[in-house]
Amino acid sequence: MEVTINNKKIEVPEDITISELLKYLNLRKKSAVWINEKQLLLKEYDTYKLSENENVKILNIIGGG
Amino acid sequence: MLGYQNKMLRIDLSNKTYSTEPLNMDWAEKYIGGKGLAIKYLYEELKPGTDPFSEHNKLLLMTGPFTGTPVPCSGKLAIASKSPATGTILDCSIGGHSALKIKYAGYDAVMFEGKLDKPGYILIEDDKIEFKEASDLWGKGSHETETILSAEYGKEASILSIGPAGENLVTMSCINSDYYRQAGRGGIGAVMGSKNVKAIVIIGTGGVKVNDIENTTKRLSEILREDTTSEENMFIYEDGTTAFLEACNDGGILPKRNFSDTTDENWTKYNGEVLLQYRKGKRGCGSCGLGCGNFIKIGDAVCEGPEYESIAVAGPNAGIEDPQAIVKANQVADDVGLDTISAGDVIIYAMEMTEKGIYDFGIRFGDKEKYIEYLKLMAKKEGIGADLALGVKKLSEKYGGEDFAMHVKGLEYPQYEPRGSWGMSLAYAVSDRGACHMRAYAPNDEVFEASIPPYTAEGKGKMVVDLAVYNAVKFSLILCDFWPLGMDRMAELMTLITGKEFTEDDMNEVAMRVIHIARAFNQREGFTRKDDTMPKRLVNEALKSGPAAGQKIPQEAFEKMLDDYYAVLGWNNDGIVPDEILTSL
Amino acid sequence: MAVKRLKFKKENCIGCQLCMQACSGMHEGAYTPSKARLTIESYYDKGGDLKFEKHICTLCGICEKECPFEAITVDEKVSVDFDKCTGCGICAEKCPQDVISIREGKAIICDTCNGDPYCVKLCPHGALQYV
Repeated sequence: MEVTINNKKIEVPEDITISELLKYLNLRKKSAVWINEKQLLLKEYDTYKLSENENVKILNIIGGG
Repeated sequence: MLGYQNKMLRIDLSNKTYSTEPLNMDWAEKYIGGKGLAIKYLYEELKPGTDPFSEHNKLLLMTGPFTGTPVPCSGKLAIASKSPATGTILDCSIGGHSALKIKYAGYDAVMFEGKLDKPGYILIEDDKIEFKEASDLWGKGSHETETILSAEYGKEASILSIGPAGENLVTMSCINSDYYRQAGRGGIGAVMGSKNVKAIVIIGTGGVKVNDIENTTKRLSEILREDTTSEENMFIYEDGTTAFLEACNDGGILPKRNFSDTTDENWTKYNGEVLLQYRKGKRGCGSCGLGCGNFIKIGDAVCEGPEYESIAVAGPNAGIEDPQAIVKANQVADDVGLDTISAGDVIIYAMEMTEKGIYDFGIRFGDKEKYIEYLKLMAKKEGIGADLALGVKKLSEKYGGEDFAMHVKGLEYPQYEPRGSWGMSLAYAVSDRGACHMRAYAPNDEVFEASIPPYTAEGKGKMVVDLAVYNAVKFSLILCDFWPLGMDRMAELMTLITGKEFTEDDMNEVAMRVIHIARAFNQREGFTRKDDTMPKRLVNEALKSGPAAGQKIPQEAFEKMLDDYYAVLGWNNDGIVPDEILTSL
Repeated sequence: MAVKRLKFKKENCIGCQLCMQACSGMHEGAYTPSKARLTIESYYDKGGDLKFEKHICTLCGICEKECPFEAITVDEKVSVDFDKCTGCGICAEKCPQDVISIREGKAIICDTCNGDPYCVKLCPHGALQYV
């Protein structure tokens, strides 16, 4: 199915969870994720299943400065 | 242990003499180097009650066993003293190449004692130490000073310098290196200024011996590829700290107008995408495996940077949206030798005071020209600068607005809004040098990783201890913040370089010692729970915008976080380190 | 078959000098950049411009041509015969890259770590390549 990730339309498997999505995209398990502009908590990553056309933002940062 | 030079250089500025002595290796085993070992030395050598501007205060430059080796991201130098801004222990971490040059000159550490009778600079060239005149440099900006000294001593010389702010003992002044790197906070530059030291020039032509050097070099090249430069760490090379702008804005912790709200809908005017269009090049520190530095030029505004803090404080927190003005503010602060965070926080407090009609400092939110003018006046303590140079704590005691004077113990607030990340209010409150984001970096857990819910006091005591442990040992090794290596990797590197076996448990023990001894130093100066504070703004005013809209932190929640933090560390409920721990340090 | 040489791309250089540490570590028994067989430096010229200085062996062969004692051979790498080398210093003087040092009476020149250069291995973003 098609979803938007960081403003790009991308094909992903149906019913993919956020954890699986991060693995699929080769990103850190602990990235910051927003679905339709609402931030998810890390503990929801294993259970939240993406739906068609959802708007996903992923930020992958750590540290200070 | 290999990696160390086993030597400290002690410089007596009052008598213009110097000596070398073995590094205390018993202490090095317990505290390693950098932050931890520097605090241990100062804990043992400074008497409680020492005036930070007197000749009895000391300025300590401390490397670590990795410094000067190809351990990635090992190029930082710890610079420590007693803070003129807060009266607490103060350790800063400066990038560039000076840490390596000190090591190659043959020293693990350089201790400055006493004070010069008139302005001078110190030349350290391997085993040659000279006291030079600096009356023609005194008064010049850090950038011009570096240019002059660099022309005389060559590119291989590292130059640490202060600007007029340090000379004038402004308690927000910094020490500069490589033009655009700083030991920024707590008035470290003013300590150097109080000793009449304008600059320290370091040339080092020697080397660092480590255990099994050929195999170690092979292993380090593997670690560089597999760990340091892995895909998930590369954002810091690609975007630098501008990457934090988006995360903080979306996470609801980017402050606006002196921390009166968060979330700037105009952030796309000055964000990473905009700033990086003007990037002319990249630079890192010595031994860096990543390279966070962005060299940016917009018109006549030139800076390696600005970093997240400097963008936020001179941007949304000041009501300014012009990227050129933000870069210029950073350039000017660097040159006159002011900490961008503290100096910025004073200016934005002054803006709010003027807007509210409590006291007219002559500047309002959005006034980008006056922002830059005020930086210059503060550095010289001239005109309105004489008042502003007092810092937010003393200024608010004099003129009011204490509820929104954003500081802890006299060190001004970094640019992460705690109402959107409650654990940060605790981290700021208990940090060993006043409000600092680099002791326990709560936004990682509460916002970027969202592993712990942000708007609760639950579990935050333990969270802040865990974060503080990680940074305490990391900054004692001393490694850069931007390589998020695990503590098992830290232990592997210690074993690899020194030839002595270190385990992850050892790393934890070092961390705990460092946290305890920093607290012990402050406790001896009279600091207790009453000084671990949160500005009233966070209690009384709810945020209006962004994901954390509606959030404020009840005082009881803050007190609970403090209770939990002390309990996890084994301190009493007044935040006092007990004797059993003190005697083990 | 084309001979591999060291190449430098300044856009990818962050001035870390890991290359110089790696070189001296593998040849001199200690991490001593002042004794490295290459020099790469990035610096701010008066704070206003980011500049690079590089000195790497390009296998140009001038040292071989100029050596009065035929002590130097240049094929896939530079080799110095220490029995023939007198430390006269002519190679160092003529080297267009200024990468030759004379230490303890012998010419010290990059040997590409025998075809597997460590400067390249420790370069974080591929500014140094061996192609």
